[in-house]
Amino acid sequence: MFRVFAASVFGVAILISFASVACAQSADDVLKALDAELKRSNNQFAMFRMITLESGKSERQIDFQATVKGTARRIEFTAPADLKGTKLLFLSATQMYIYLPAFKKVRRVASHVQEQGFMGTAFDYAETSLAVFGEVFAAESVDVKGDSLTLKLRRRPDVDFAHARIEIDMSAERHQPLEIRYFNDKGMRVKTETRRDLVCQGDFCMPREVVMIDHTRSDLQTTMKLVKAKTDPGVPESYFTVRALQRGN
Amino acid sequence: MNWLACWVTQKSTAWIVVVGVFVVAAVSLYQTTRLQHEDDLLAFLPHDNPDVALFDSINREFGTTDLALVGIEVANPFDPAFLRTLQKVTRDLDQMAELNHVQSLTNVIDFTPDPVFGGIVTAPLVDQIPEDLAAQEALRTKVMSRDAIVGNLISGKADAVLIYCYLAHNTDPRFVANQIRAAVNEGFPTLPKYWGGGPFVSTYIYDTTSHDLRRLTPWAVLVIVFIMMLVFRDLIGTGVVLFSTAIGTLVSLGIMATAGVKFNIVLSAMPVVLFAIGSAYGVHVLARYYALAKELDPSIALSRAVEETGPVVIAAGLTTAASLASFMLMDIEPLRTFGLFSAIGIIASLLLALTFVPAVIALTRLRRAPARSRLMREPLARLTVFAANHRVRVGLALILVALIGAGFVGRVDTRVDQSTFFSRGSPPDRAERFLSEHFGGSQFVQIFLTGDMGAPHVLREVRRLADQLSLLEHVSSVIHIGDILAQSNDAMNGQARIPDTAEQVGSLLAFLDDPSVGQMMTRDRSRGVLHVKLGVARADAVEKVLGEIEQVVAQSLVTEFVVAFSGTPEVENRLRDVVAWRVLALVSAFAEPLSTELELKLRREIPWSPEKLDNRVIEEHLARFLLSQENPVPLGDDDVQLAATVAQAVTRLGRAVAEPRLAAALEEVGLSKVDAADLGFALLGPLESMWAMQKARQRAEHLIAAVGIPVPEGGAGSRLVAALTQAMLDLECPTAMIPSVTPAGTLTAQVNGLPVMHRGLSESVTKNQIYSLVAALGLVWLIMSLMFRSFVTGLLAIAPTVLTLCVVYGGMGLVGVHLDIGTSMLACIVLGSGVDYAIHLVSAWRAPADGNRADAARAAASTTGPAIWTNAIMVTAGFAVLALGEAKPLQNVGSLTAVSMIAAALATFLAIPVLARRTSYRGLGEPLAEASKVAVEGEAARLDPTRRRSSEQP
Repeated sequence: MFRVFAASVFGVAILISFASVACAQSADDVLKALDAELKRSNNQFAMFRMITLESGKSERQIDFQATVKGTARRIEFTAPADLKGTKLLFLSATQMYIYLPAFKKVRRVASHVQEQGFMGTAFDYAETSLAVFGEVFAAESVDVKGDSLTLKLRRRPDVDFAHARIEIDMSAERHQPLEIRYFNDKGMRVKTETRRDLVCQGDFCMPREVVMIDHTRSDLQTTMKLVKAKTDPGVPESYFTVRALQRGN
Repeated sequence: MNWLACWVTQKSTAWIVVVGVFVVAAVSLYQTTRLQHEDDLLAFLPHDNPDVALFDSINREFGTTDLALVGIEVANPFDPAFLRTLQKVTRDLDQMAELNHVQSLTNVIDFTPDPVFGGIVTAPLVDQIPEDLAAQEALRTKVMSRDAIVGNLISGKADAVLIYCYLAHNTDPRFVANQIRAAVNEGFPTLPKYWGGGPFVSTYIYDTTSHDLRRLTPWAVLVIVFIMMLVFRDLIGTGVVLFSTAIGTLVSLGIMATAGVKFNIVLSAMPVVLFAIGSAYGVHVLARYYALAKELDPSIALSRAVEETGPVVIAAGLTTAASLASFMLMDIEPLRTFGLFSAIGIIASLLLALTFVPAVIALTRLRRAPARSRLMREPLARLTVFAANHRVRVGLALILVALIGAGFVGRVDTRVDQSTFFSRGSPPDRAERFLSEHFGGSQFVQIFLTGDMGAPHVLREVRRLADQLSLLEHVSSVIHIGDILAQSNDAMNGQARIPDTAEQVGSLLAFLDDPSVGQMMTRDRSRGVLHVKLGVARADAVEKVLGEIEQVVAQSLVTEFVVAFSGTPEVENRLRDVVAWRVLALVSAFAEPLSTELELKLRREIPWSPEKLDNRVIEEHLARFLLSQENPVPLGDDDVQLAATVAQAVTRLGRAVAEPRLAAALEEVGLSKVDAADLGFALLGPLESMWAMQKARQRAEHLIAAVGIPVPEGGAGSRLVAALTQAMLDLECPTAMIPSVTPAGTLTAQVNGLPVMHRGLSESVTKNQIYSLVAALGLVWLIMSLMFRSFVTGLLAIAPTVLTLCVVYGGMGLVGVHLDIGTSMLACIVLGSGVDYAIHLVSAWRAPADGNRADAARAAASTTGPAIWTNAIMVTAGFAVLALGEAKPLQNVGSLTAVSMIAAALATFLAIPVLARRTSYRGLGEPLAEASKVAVEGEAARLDPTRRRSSEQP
């Protein structure tokens, strides 16, 4: 549960930080360029607000800030009150540490959970844990329509992953994903992710808003808004340690 | 009536009537196509009943009926092929838009402590599909050791699995149930499957009822047509009567659509009811016409038929409509709708019988083949005359029958349970048995709680209540938010118990993303539900355990309290009580319930506290922590010796040591100032947990030894000891709720759930039955009294129906038919149509000038008998066909109404001659005076050819 949450949040943070993709001719080229840009976003700080709307329930809001440096990631929740002060340290794909202020102690959580949502949002581990697409998907085709590209990816045969296929719409000019559609084994679209209002610092761009709609849960919708972003925030390596997490540094 | 008779039998007027009726029929038909359907079976709940209103509210807030359960019987659930399919089916279901969440053995998340690196490892319980027998056995051992999984996702004997499907908000349960069924059937086409939970049960009830009605209604109508054809041997006449009834039904449905009233499943039975009862009016007009047309010119016969039968038919129609309208006093909306629109349909059929039927007869000048009604008429006449001549004997016999019936009426079971809605052996019944046998039951009592559900002391009291309830007989388990919180606390804090502070509770709840949490607590934590699973389904057993649950809740729950800190005797006593119930519940779950003697011993031993804690255990745990990856200040790669030294130094300081002293001790064993400070700070929490756990462990061991708690061998025994240790931790809770007359907080509980709803429904059905029957009897008596201008004659007219009701309800008591929503409609339907027979017979009760009561009886029976019995047989046949269906409510109503109508007709021909004190009755009888004369003369003419010839003289 906790592991999933952290992975998801960081996954989202990574996924929304696409940089421009070089103009490419083949689907494989576009995919490689996309993955290369994903790996570039490794020294960032951002504050997010996540709002979830679910049919028949009241709106939920979570505020958090995320810091990424190399492979280490750390997030800290600022709202709601129950989560305020909760910190997560993410050191690898399967290992994280969580600090719950109410318990005043750090807990190590090693997780092998692949498919599970978190905190009732539309995001889940499956799509947000993708560090790079190429590890899970193979390029199938790329369609060019005027100023936009649609990259179609299919799950590699030897990979266990929830979504069988995804389609990524991106602008031909900046090669930034505008919409990602996730499909299951039966070809049914299960999720749609939309990215809006791109903001760029140098060659690094992030959308101000990402909307994820889970069609399998009565169109459960989570909007992740970028409140503040900073490239190269100057955080020391010691920030990403259990000791810092415990001390609250 | 003379005017109507003259008016409607004129050809020009007849054409206007026929055309007008066709126009009305066309408009009604168009409107009927716009009729909306109401599929929600919860609409049948009497929402004015407080229990049912609460059930409805709990269902809306917690979605308690929005859970579909799929049980699959399988010899080896750890077989790789089975697990792979289960995994796929679970994933497919989970991706259905109409399901919020799906839980099965293959996607449930498990966590275990990581003995090497510290912390926990989370992974799916079935992390990998076992490919060989050894892996299968290992998985079996692992799964069967999870107490939260066994009995919920897999049966205790590992021979069945269960899939939980949580429906999304505002989804159509029938649609979802069918989707789930299709997906599971595709995955497991050959394995036995069981479909439980609200969506499947309601879908079954709705589908079987509507399927039965769709399938059987044409047959019922066909049987009615056949009987009418047999009696009248006239296609046009039969067709006209039935067509007029059909239009009456259409008009009623058209008005419904225009008024925006939705069509419900009870209204599906309306066509049969209207065809069976409403066609009687046309039948009487037609029968009278045929009788008169033998002697008179058709136009005169028609006019006379309308004139003579009109008042009687109007009286009969009004009494039937009044009986059905009495449904308006019921507190179940669909029944009110049924009553209102059936009454409208009856009135429409009545009007058509007096206008459209004569108009068509006038236009077609109907004739029929020679009558053979003597077959029916003569025995009826003899029966009626016999009753009139032997009043005392027949009267005594009837009184005896009524008394026996009345004696059994008291035995009518008014308790509503699942068997009310489906038969033994039906899919929901089999699912219920499967769930009871493999998963501890399928019926839940819900306890609705209001209070601060985020406060640990409240949560502990809720858990204490749950523990106490779990000890009751027939309670198989109790599920509450405390269970989930304890699991989360175990994962995060290593303690499988309710956390000590509200902040800790809030912190854990914030991360919980499980739909089952929403079924136990509202998001604002102001309300909660405790689910008590019952291991029985029989109404009497459920009622008993329900009473016990209510008693426990009323007597033991602390509803008004103050929160006090530990250190006072009140708090200690309170905590000891909480722990005692926990221990009793755990022992009962793992082994067997403790005897009263042992329970007393247990309560005496609970305060025991160890004088000295075993430092070696603390040292061991501490050293393990220091070497784990949870330690923020690594001591070096696997520096076991340093870890042991640090652990020894720290343990020597004892419990509750201050941070500076701890840091100083760490510095003394060689740590740098910074490392010592950081480690000292980091150790505060874990160290306190270790000391507390050790004390609890020693307390648990003492309790087991001192009380003689039976600890099972193997894994279950270890888990019991671990659980008892966790329970003993609660003796050191920092706060507890103390009952107070000047409370600072409140916790209220209301017992509810399907069994309570059934009880509420039962009360409602009984109340509805009494109200509607009294109202219907009163109205019918009033109408009869007005029509016959005598209250006594009014009583005479309703007497046969009262006798019928005694017999029918006595029969229900004798054979064990429950009084339920369906059968509660019976009395008014029987009263409405049964009284018709009496009206016709009493109206025709008229002896010749020098005749006696026997002559009056003969005249009445000869005149009205065939029509009454034709109608009785029609209604009986129509409803008997409905009884052939699968739907239990239809079976009951169909068979009982069928029997009732024959009983009502028989009672009419026996009770009226016994009770009638006169040779004629005024009021409605007046116009029939001549008719009786014709009938009697007709009979005489048949017997005496010379009289027949003379009567044929102009």
